[in-house]
Amino acid sequence: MALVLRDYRVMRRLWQLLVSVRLAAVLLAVMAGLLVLSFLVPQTPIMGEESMLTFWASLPSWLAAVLRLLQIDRIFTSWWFFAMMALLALNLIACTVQRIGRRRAVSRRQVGAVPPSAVRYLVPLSPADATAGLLESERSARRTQRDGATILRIRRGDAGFIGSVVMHLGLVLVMVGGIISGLTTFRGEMVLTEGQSVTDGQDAYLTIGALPRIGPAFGDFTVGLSEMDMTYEAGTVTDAVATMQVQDSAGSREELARVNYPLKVQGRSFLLQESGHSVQLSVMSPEGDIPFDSFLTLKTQTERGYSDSVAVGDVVIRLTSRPDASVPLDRPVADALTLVDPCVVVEVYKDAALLGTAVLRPGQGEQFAGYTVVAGDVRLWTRFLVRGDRGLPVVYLAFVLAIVGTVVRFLDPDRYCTVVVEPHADGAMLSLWGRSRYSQLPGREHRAVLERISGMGGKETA
Amino acid sequence: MSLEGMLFWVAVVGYALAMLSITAGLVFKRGSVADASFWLTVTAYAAHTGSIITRWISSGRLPFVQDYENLLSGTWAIVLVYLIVAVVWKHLRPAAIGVLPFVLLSMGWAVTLPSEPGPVTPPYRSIWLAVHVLFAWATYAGYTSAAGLGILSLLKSGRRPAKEGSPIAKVPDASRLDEITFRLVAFGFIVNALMIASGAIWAYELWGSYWRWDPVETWSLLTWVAYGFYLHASLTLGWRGRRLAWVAVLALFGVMMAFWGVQFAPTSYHLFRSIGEVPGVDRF
Repeated sequence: MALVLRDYRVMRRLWQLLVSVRLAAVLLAVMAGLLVLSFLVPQTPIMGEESMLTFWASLPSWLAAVLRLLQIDRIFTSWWFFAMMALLALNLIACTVQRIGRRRAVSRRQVGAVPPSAVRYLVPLSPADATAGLLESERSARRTQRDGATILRIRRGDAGFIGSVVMHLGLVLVMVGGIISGLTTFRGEMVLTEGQSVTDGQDAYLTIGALPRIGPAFGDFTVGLSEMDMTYEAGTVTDAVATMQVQDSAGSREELARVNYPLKVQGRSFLLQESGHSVQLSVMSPEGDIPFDSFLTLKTQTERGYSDSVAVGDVVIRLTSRPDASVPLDRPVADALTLVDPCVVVEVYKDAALLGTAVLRPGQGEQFAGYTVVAGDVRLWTRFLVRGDRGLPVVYLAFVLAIVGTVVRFLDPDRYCTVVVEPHADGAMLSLWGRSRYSQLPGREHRAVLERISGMGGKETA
Repeated sequence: MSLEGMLFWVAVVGYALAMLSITAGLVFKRGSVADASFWLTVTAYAAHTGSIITRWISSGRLPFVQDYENLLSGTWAIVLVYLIVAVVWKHLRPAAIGVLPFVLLSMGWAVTLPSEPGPVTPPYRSIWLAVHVLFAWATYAGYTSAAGLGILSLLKSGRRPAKEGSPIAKVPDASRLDEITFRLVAFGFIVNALMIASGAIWAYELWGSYWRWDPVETWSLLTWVAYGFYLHASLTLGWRGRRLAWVAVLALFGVMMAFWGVQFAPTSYHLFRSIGEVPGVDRF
């Protein structure tokens, strides 16, 4: 029996802790502290592992080890942060549910504690008739008796209260959406050259940062890049439009993708990140075989154009693609992603020594120590960030609920009016107390009650 | 110097004189000197508005893109809300003591930034830019004026009663100040939520993620939570007067961090680079 009682007390204490605003205040204060800490300690998910190496190297090794162990460099993806947010969500739900029950009891603190804001005497109306008159129009008023007086409590702000509940539940839903996002997110990088198509799958991606823990990892579609169209203004890209080909269960179609307007296919968004040059390269060795015959993606942008190297046999071939062959080689390129009359500068190295260099137009070739290098088409490649997130609709719904709930909360604030009806001389005395968060003066309801009292008949005296 | 530049400096000088005037009025308890501050602010605001209009015309777009433009527009919104408060509630004009320092510091920072209008890069080509930034400026404007009223409340409820003729003497009592401050905070709270939501929607379309715990995002959230605490303290805990005023003043720190602090962050997705500043590097 004692054990049962002790368990009950423990459970009751836990529940009281869970529904306390103090717990929410502590959790939010801790969260605020963590946000400040995230500003002082660089966060790996934002900085990247490589950038963090410098930071770790600047700290004593023991401190770096401790920070890593506690995941201080990954605050927002750490297990203890998720646990804290889960506790906060439970606390929000519990506080909201508890307040629904608590709101049914109306404040008793007003009467007698402060002087009434208005007093009316109705002669010869009896207290019972005065009470009945008020209750006729205020059906939701709660009536109690005390020391021969009738106390009526009128309360407004129900819509505002519901708004507050909706708002807090919206916040909880944001966290739920975040959890769904964490479980279903897909993140990958894909590089497509103009004219290239790929079928969604592991091999289609340059890198895959995150796979969904729930649901299929890949979709049933093929996506291709037909054309990249760049617009420049004063040497800066001002618009980039990708013409994409999509083939899925709905059929084939062509769609445009831009920065801020990604291609969307089966819940995946293809976001444009950057572009560069891609050169079709064919290399024939002295032995007559063709060890390389493909598009080479040139990733490094320099003042001379886009460059990259490839090792073929015992030579290294470095290509630099320029958008306009009429521009002298010693001048930097402008508007590099607008291919006017492209050319490719080929440099061939063997054992770090330069064997030869040539400037080739598409379709032209050159011999270097027995190797025949042919530069084919020059096209643009584009790197896409591919994202999928099934939590998104939940989060967007949560935003709507939180904002609408907040607006309604403030549009319909809590307002109280308490009327005490007592016998007085040969009539009734009605004393009014009114309270509203927004004004110390009688609120709308207070004035409305006074008007109703005036309309009840009898002779009103001050 | 261009017309825009001249108007900008007229505005800065006007705000600086208004700041001096309100400070002198409060320190030496001269109401007329403090009143002059309001009219100086109005004059400076007119020049400020002219500066924005000329910027809009010369760049051919809304001045929301570069850091300089954001500071110009943001401070304009902050002063606008203050002027509305000062016109509706005449005796709250001394709230400038809390508003003008923020405006002057921001405009001072703007002077150090490149101001030549550059081409608009693809990340800025979205309707969400205008939506997000408008709500951001409304947020900061509401909170800044609330902080100004918080300072007034602290001055009003000081140990010594205000002398007659002092600008503080005519300021309404603490309960009325609380009420007006509450309304401003509630306004700021709602538009802050809209700012965060619109930013998240834009972030997903631009970066593929609606929330990345970026320093600016986290400070915006922290600011929202801080002002949410203000509302709870007022409605649930029954805080009034000085205690509540301190919350309104201190929470402005979050606004400053979200507004300025990003410059000190190791990195941030809100550092939109490459508006023509790195020729030949063709990133989006």
